Amino acid sequence: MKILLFGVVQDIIGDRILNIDSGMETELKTVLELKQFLIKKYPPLNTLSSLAVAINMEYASDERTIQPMDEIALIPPVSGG
Amino acid sequence: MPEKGIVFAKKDTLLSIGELKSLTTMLAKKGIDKIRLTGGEPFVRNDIMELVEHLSEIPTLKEISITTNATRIGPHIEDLKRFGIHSVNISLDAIRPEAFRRITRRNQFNVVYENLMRLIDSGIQVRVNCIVLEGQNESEIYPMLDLQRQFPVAVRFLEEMPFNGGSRDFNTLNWNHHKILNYIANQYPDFEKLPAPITSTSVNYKIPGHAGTFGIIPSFSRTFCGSCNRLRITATGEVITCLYGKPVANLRTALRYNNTQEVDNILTRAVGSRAKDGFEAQERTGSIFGSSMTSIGG
Repeated sequence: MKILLFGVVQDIIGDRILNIDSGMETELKTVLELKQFLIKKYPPLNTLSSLAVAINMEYASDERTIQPMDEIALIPPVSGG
Repeated sequence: MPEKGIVFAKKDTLLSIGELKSLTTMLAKKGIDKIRLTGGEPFVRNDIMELVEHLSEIPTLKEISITTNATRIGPHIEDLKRFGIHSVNISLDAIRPEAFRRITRRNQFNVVYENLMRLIDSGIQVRVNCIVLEGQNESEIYPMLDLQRQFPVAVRFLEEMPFNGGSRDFNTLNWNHHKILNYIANQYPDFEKLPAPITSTSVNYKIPGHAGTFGIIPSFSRTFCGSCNRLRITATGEVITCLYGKPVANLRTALRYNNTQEVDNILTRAVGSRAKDGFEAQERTGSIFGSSMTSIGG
């Protein structure tokens, strides 16, 4: 799974694209699970006022299921970080 | 978009992509070396990338740019980069979701913001055009500056122009370029002026330590008219030499009959009889017309 990163999220994770290996990928079934996984791995993400997840160029709610071919992007909050 | 909406052009009056391709080839032969695709909204045409690709193949074009509302550009960003697009201007009068919704009457802030992030990330030069609308978005000025603090974008504040569906006729402007700059100076007194080409409509500034720049476009005060070299062709083929004037001719018939000589004559006449500035153009027009920038294109 490839996740596109923007703005302050790039700074926190230290790259423009985050690759998640296929073993982990199968455990992340929803947007909420993905967020929880990322926050655990990169705790500074939790300090952001918001962290939106877009799937295939549309913002996705926490309950949204992630499909293997989905294009995922992490969108930082509009102001600050 | 005015509150009452706009009357969309009938489809058969729109220049086709084929016609736009031959027109841009002719324009380039006449010495035009910069082309900007604007609108309405360029990406409502599903075949717009065919035109972009065509432009990228005209060797004499030095600059190709696009003005967009950024709602539909997302899937095309990689191709725009591949075709060598120099800059994308995003028309964005608010950078906070609630203000965006109020001003655009659309619920598309998220997709616009994501596309803004993607464009910045692509390395294409990104400019954000924000019209300062009295009583509507003055409180967006500082948040907009925050955007250029964080990201390498040029945020440009435009004076409001007195045609927005006829709802905003005015002869004096409260938020003129002086007032906008003074307002910015209250928060950021240490900006420095940047050099700009003579034909630039914006006066640009840099705040030390900020990733981007900001600029002001005096589109109502019209201090740039003396060096203006712009020519607009609308989606229906009308030729406009000044935003304060009426269309001076229409190229559609000549284009449909593939009459290159007539297209050439029309363009030469139009450019040769331009008003000396936006004030003269407005006088010739008689009164401010009820058109909207949503129709004319930013």
